[in-house]
Amino acid sequence: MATGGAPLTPPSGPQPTAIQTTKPFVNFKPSDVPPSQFLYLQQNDNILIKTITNSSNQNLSLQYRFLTPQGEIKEGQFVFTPTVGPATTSFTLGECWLLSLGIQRLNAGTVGNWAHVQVGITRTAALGLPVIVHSMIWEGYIYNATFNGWPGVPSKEAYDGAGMVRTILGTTPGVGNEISETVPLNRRWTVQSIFLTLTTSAAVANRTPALTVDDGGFTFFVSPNPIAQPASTASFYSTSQVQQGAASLNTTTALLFPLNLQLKASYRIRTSTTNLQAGDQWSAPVYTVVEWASSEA
Amino acid sequence: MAKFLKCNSCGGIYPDTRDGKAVAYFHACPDQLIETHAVCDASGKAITPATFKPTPNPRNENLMPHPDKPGEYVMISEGSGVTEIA
Repeated sequence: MATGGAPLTPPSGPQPTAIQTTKPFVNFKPSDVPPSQFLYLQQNDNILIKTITNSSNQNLSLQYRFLTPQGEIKEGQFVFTPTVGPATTSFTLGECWLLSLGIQRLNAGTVGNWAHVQVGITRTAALGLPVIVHSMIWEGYIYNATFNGWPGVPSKEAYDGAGMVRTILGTTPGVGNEISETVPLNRRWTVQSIFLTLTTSAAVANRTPALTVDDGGFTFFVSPNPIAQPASTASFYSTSQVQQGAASLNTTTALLFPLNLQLKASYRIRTSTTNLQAGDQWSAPVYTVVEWASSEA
Repeated sequence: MAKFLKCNSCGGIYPDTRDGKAVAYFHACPDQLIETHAVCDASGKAITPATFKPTPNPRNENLMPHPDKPGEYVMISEGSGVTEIA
């Protein structure tokens, strides 16, 4: 005897493959259904892929599904390895309705990797020519161990999103010379912190290091530093939003620096050390930034 | 693949990221080097300030559009090249 449930329904509910005795009220059309996506590709259309990456050796895969004029749903894969920096490639599907795109990285990545991918439609046959884009389908970031695509996650322009936190080991300058770090092409940085070490020689001199920031030409920030470093010492310098007035009890000096300073390509962060001596040695700077792709000049 | 590279133009040493196993690092020489360092007295104060000279044949690994091949990118300047350091 049935207990619980609706009349004519077994107590445990209908099994997935069993025909329900109560018919659904909604009917579905199984034939002559228009495509779910409106994106129609004509014979002359190419799928354009434009990338900005921050490392080479990124094997990216673009998987796609499309509906042919014959009513078949097909799928395919386009694998590409963009060069570091800006790169462009394309492929063609012929006449079809594009149903979906999925983009992911195929090989193992490293800490801080990202690729900003733009997918659009072009009729430019030779990519060596200026590429004319007729439509933007989707753009966004591909990180290690994640996938993205269309339709799905809303498009992200290059400056959108949280960015990628990176710690960068810079260049150890030649002995007796200053540090100079340059923001690379197609990057936007928000500088979080900078850590430096200066080891002075036995030459008697009062060294007073400062940090400067310029746009490749004009200097627009110089950190004041009233504290001198004597001979035969090793001192650490770390950026801070608080000006240090007196010498530290330990060997770390705070250098005033703007909070979350945004820099773009060709901008430079440098040291400027009064009375730097020939035998003095700056270590490689270690700095943390939040990084985005950028198309700014 | 070497672990570090030494720039033959400015003497700077930086990580070798050419194999793609790390995020790319683009070295750019400073635009000037110290030609003569400051001379200081016994108290550490400068008697003669430092003088500077333009970096000879500077290297800049950042990319620019290829002048002859639209869509491609090349290093801005090779400079005096690099020396691999283990």
